[in-house]
Amino acid sequence: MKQLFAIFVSLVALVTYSQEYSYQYITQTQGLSNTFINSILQDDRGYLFVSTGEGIGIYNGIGVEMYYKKNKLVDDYVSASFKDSKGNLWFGHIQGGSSIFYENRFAHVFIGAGIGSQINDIDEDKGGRIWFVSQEYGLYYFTENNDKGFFSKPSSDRLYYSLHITEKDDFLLGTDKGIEVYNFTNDADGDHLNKVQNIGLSEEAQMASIIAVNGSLTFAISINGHAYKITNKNNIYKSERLQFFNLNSEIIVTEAYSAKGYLWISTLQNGLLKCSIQDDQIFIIEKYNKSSGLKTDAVNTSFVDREGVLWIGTFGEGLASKEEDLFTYYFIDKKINHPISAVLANKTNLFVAGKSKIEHFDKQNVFCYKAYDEQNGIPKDEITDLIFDKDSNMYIGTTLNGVYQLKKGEDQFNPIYISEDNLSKTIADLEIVENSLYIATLNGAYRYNLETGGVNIFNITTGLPHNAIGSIFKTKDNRVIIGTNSAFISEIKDETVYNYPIKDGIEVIEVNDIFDDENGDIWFSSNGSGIFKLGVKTCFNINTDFGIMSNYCNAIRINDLGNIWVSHNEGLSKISLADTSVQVFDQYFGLNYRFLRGAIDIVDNEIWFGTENGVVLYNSDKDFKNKVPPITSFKFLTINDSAHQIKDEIHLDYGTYKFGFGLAGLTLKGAKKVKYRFILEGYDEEWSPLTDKNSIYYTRMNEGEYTFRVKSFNADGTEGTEIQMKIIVAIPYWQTWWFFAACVVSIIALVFVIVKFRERSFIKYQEKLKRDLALRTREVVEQKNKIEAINKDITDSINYAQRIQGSILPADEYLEELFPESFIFFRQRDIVSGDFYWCGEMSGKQVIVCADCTGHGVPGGFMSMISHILLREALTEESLDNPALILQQINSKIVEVLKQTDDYESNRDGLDIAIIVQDKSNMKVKFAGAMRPLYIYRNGIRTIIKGDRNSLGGLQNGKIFETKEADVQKGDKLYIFSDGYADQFGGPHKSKMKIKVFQEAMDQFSQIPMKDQEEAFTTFFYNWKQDMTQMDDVLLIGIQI
Amino acid sequence: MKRIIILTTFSILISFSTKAQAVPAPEENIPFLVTFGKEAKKSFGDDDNCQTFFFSIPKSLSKPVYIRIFDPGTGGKHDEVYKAENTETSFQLYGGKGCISEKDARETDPKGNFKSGNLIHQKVFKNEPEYDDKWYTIGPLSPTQGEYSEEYFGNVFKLICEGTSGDDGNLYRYFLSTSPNENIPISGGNAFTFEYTFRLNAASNQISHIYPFVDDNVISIKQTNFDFDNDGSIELSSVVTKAYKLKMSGDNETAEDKYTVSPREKGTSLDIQLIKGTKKITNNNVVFYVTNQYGEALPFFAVPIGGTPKYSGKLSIKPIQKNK
Repeated sequence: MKQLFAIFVSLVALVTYSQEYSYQYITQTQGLSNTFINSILQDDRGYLFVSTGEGIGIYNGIGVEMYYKKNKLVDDYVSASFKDSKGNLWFGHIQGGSSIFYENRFAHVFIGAGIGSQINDIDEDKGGRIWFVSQEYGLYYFTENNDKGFFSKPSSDRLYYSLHITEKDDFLLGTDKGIEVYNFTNDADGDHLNKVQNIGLSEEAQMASIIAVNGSLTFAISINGHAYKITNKNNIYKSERLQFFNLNSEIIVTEAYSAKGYLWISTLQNGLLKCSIQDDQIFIIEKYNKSSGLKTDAVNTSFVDREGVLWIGTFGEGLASKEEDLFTYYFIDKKINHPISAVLANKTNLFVAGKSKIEHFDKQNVFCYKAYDEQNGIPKDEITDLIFDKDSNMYIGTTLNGVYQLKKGEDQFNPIYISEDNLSKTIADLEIVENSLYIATLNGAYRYNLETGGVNIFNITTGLPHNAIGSIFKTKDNRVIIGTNSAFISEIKDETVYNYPIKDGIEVIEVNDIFDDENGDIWFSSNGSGIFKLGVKTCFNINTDFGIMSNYCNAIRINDLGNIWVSHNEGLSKISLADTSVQVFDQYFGLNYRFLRGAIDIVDNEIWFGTENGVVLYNSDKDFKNKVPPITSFKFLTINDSAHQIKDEIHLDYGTYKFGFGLAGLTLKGAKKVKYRFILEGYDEEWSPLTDKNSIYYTRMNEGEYTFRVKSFNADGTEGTEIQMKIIVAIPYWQTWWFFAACVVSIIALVFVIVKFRERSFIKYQEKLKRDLALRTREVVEQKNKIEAINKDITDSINYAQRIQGSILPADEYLEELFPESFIFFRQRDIVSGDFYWCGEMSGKQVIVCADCTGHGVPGGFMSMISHILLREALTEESLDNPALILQQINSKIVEVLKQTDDYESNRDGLDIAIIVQDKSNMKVKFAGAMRPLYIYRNGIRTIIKGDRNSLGGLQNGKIFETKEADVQKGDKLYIFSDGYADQFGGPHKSKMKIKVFQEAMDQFSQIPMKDQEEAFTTFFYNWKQDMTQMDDVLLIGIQI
Repeated sequence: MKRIIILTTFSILISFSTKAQAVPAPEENIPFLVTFGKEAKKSFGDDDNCQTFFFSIPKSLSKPVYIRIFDPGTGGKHDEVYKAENTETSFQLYGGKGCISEKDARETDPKGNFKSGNLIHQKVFKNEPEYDDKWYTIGPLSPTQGEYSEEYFGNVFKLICEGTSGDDGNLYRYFLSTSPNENIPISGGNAFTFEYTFRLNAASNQISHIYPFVDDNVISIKQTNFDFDNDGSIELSSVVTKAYKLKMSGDNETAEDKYTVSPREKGTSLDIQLIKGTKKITNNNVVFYVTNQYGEALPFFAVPIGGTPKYSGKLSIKPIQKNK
């Protein structure tokens, strides 16, 4: 078994010698500051931490962001790193200090004062202490709680390089002179690091690494490449030297690392060695160094990430990554291109052909059995195809020299004659069908009988659409399909050519290659139009619209996974038969060389492609999806184009905003092909379609609650974690409940205040009013008292005046004497009156006067007094004969007495007057009236003797008064009166009585005895007046003849 | 002062644009460095069985560098075997903090903390035919593994060669290279030591040169040579001095004398020439160092700072008549 394994490994070693891997490099171009890598780690978020001599680079799959001393690292030179059980990252520096990365930031742990020597290793004990190995100083530890302990030079004269804390919490300390075992105790006396033993080694060597491999084996390796298995029995550690099986040179080891069941040994002169440990031997399975395409042999460290990507920390060429190889590269010549124009493979053999050369390899070992060249009869020409018949004879096609045959067991190629035509010597394809060799030429398709040597030709004369044949293919059910440079794809069946239109039967399609799938469908590639599936009437076409790399398709094959593989000049396209989804492979996958047209072969799970420099092997066994979900994160957040701290929930003031979300789907495998789906809840109605945009912006975002949710998908479509961020833009304050509440409270408070204020003001006002009222009342009372006093004086005066005025009025007895049947209704409005009456007898004539002076009250009283005097002066015998003279005299006297003029400003006082002079002797009465009439009733008939239409006094304008004389009879009733009676307001309508009502009343009352008339007129007057104010002095005089 | 700074800077630019990190440099005409095993007699020409060389890498370089040692073992073609080939020589490469900044590292005697800094690499050589007359390479090295020193023009590494046992003389050379397999000099790189122990040419009249650098603080220097065997003469030349005779030592003796530095010599290198006589002395090993007025050792640069000093004669100053 051991020998078999050794043989296997040695064969693998041969393979590795001949093949090259594709590496991706991260250098200054991606932002790495320094290409000397000291250690590599991946944090729980998926970021890669690359420690260098000039800071730490954090790689996110796209680029590197560097962190330095100014970013809180203790020093720029980072010599070691370690991820603890809690996910914190610890870093050791060249001058002995240490830094930590936690909560997404770096911080100092210990600046190294007093240590001064490089940290070479870091490990964690069972108590969570992080132990740092300082080269000259020894050990020190820190804990998350900032506890610390320092152990200077645990052994004298030793330098310290590596540390492994075992499951039993024993410290295996690698020094420059082997391994020491320590035991750490922590008791009341403090910390103790007690040396337990030295582990005997075969040398006193500097120990590069001590690690656990596969969880059970403890492995130590010195910088000289001496490897040891460390075992523990009865608490005694022992070492056992492990031999490298297939290492034939000295190595200088920088680090050993265990991952994926392998031991990864970094060396400075031999690159990275991928090893397995078997039967106490170390087998190098693969070498990643210059021989396998790595830019350098100096590897300082290595790391396998969570997606299985191998990271190689080189010393001088940056960080290299190597994914699981979908493609393997053979025969690449770095100096001159090594074109492979034809390739043929079976389970064990591989034939590659170029110009004038065919090489036969053992496929497994890539060991060249045999090479054929011009010495073997191959023409000096490019070989376009090669094929074997059932008898293992080989046939090759050439560009200009036709077909050659190499018979089994022979060493010499011989030409096969098929035609003299030169075009028939340009061979595009060969195909074996039963015992015939079909040859695709520019002169048609030839069929060469392998037994008889007979030749048939199929060309435009026999029904082919074109003589330039691109490909001939035998399907799984033995149909012979021919592709030409025409609008048709052809089939030879029973010696007859059948042509099927590719598109419309018009458009010319240059067919390059043909293949069939498991369902028997025939697919062919074209030069400029993509690939086609042969259909009944037309062909199904897949082109760049479907995502294939180019419409210029060289070779085509369909593999066991149901994928169509198409080679282009620039790379490969893989099309799924199931859903026609497309994946392209280009330089990113290391496909750096042009794929040649017919150089392809498929066998089992392998497809071999010939390129202008070497061969590319695709192995479908390695073609599996990366099912490790990418880790979604926010790369940045901008609000109004300014960077904003990323938080789960962000609150913004009311306003209009622009949100910018930077997305990261962290995968270190195909990072550039990460896609995203996102939704902004509160704005978007549904999730976005898949997009490769990693910066999403929303503009004019107003108040509301938004939740941005995003998911990432890796290159193989594996869905990553979903993350979200809530952004709440505040509603305007005037729409908030608290504002409403505040407003209500404020209004209530305001109302309350106003009410209180008004109440207080009102009270104050009331008090003021009270005070004012009291004051005013007092004033009023005083005034009242004054007025009352004055009024009393006035009233007394007026009353006295009334007495005086009354004294000028004739006594009732005198009136009755002169006019026995008479009455006087005299109601002055005030105490003194403007109306007055007078009666007298002169010269046997009885005179009675009714006067209505201007105004009433005191003025009227004055006027009445003046008028009375003037009246008395005017009464003469002469005037009694002509009462008009009385009026004239009074008139002129008033003007004189009152100094009246016709000026506008002069007073206009005067009086209306009616004077009756009765002369019983001749039963005549004479009447003179100024603005007052005389009513005479005889037998109930009213006769009105109008007075002159001039008042006495005031404007004169040539006033003329006239005396009227009337014969009277006994019983005639004569009435004179002032206007006060008829002007009184009242009655049912509160209106002026007017002369008409007065006349009607007089008409009625004149019928009753004189003595009763006073009462009648009185009653009528007061009934009319009711409670209304008397408007004027009232004087009514009635006499009966 | 301004003139000195300009001259120094200009000279540095010129000298660093050259590519010569061979130690000893071809211009020095010194065939080998030499370190004897610690049991060897002092009279063999090594006073402390230790030689420290520093290598300066310009800060701008970000590519790997290699320090190569020619014939690191003792015995074989070039070495001076006393009786039996019994000598072990340890080469220890240091970088990091303290590598050059530690005062003890710049002393002439290997005392105190002269092994300061981080030990990057060490290897002990015996009589190993596989390294006889061949190059051994240390590296790749990251320039930042060294200690950055502005005074010494870049990241500095320290290589200490110690004869840890035996009594033979190990003759070797160094080369600061960008290649592990070839001697490809580094643009702007340099090498220097504070005490030079080397083998003189065997042939008569051969002149070996060593170039101590005189900085602005130097007022006078004291040269010390050990075990010159009075094998010819020792002269000092500079931009202002020509063939100034220095005291030379006899066998197993130390000689020293002082020289006052001219202001024009500040910021330049001196050219100390060890002129081989006609005594036909072979295997003449010499120890040489120069200190300033404070007793601080001056560095000998493989590529002389300011270039090889060229005597420009005495300056004569004439008063110029003023125009009236």
